[in-house]
Amino acid sequence: MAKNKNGSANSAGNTNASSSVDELLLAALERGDDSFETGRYLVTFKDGAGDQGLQSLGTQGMRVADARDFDGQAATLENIGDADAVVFPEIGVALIGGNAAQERSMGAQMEIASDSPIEIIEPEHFVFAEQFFREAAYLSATKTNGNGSNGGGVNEYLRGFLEATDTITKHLQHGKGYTEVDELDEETMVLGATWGLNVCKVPPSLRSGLGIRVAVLDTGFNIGHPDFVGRPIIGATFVGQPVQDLHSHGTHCIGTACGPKSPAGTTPRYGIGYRSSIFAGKVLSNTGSSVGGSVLAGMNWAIANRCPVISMSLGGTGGVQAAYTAAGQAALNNGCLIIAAAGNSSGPTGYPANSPTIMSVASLDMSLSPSSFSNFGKVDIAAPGRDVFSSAPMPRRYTTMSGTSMATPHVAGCAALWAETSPNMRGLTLWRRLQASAKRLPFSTARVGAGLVQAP
Amino acid sequence: MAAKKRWTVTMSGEKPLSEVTKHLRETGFDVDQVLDVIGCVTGTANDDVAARLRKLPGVAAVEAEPGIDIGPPDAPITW
Repeated sequence: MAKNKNGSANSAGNTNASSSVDELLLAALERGDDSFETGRYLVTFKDGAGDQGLQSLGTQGMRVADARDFDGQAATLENIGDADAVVFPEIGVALIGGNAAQERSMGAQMEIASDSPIEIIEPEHFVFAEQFFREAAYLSATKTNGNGSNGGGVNEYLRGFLEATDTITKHLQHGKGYTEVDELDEETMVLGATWGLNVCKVPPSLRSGLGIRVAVLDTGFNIGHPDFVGRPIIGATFVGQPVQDLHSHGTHCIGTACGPKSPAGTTPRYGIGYRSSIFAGKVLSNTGSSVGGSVLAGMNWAIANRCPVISMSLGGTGGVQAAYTAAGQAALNNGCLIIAAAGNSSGPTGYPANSPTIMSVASLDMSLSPSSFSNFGKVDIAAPGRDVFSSAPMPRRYTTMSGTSMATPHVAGCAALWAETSPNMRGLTLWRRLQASAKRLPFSTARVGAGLVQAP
Repeated sequence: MAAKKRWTVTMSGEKPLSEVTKHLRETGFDVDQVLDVIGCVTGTANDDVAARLRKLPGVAAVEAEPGIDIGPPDAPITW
């Protein structure tokens, strides 16, 4: 578990204003109540009484940090040191550590004098993002071991949440007490890239996708993501919502196909065509669905813009659609190649990947065997799709996902590198080269096609 | 009157797109998008009209617009 950055003694059950979320969660578990409270308090001051409130906390002997003393008022729990409270003047609220509040008998039940600058004191509650809730609920549900625990309740939930954050942290942090992480990180530190990029032989490639337009038709892109500063990005929406990705699927796919060569800090390389031009076509809404002919409209746009590589991590279950076959043929006729995900239903390849004019991608696990979820039948090539680390909309910045959706941008990124090798390396020629250069695998072509995609 | 549905009309390439689009409209197809690069036209019509569209020269296929849904953010199953 993360150490208290202040190095102060912080026994379980106690909370400071600067306690990390992990510490607060552990303390809540230790208390064993069903409140979802963090142990800290939020004090709201009366209108215009912020400064007076700040003073009143000071007169009670609290060490108070003022958000105005931080750059851009970005006071975070990590940088307030050993303060008992932090005041946010813009919203007239102070966050007070549980210990400091207890010492002064402050709490939600406290009577507030009529001349006090304080409007109300409320317990702070944990806030969970929807995806964390899902993972935590899932982990809780699967953790019914025979130790007599009832498998439900807030404690189980919090425990599940902690495990979920651990799982996520595993992929983001470098070894701090996690055996699995140590192994993963040693490999990543030595090779400096994700497992997917390594098996596709991307790091030794001399190509960068320079001058190649890569269209990713998905949920859009997190414009302004710090890993993509200075990159040419053309966005277009076909669903009536801004290109800005509020889903995460599109940002993740673009990260793999086009992400940077050297992301900041110790983050492993996760992107392939790091000098390609990004065409982010939003054909799926922020809820992940598509309306009307927006997918076809996006394909039309990408071909009209002569993007040699068009990546589509989307689809549906059903037979071949003539419209997609026509779009795939139009792409090939115009020097473009559409690469699409076979799908994750452990069934026959869905549309649009099942069209004969569209390259269909299956997913591989780290063992280079087909992923259990990966569709089969019409499969042209395979790529890493399980546990793929890539970019995510801020503030998450990175996330790990699995699916043929994640395999497809590996092929698209490698296709961009191949396309850079020659202006003739386009359309069907590019398709054939990707298949001819693929690493053969000991599985049927119905599962892995020509094999594992390789960079030039 | 049968409910209108969304359809994708794919061209065979035997006739100019503009000419076929004109005939689609005349047959009662409410044209939404003309996607000239990929040779498709999307729009709405009831089943009877869709059946008639299939018989027009230059039309290769008339398909109910396919559903696409990868699920909400971080859904356990996406595409």
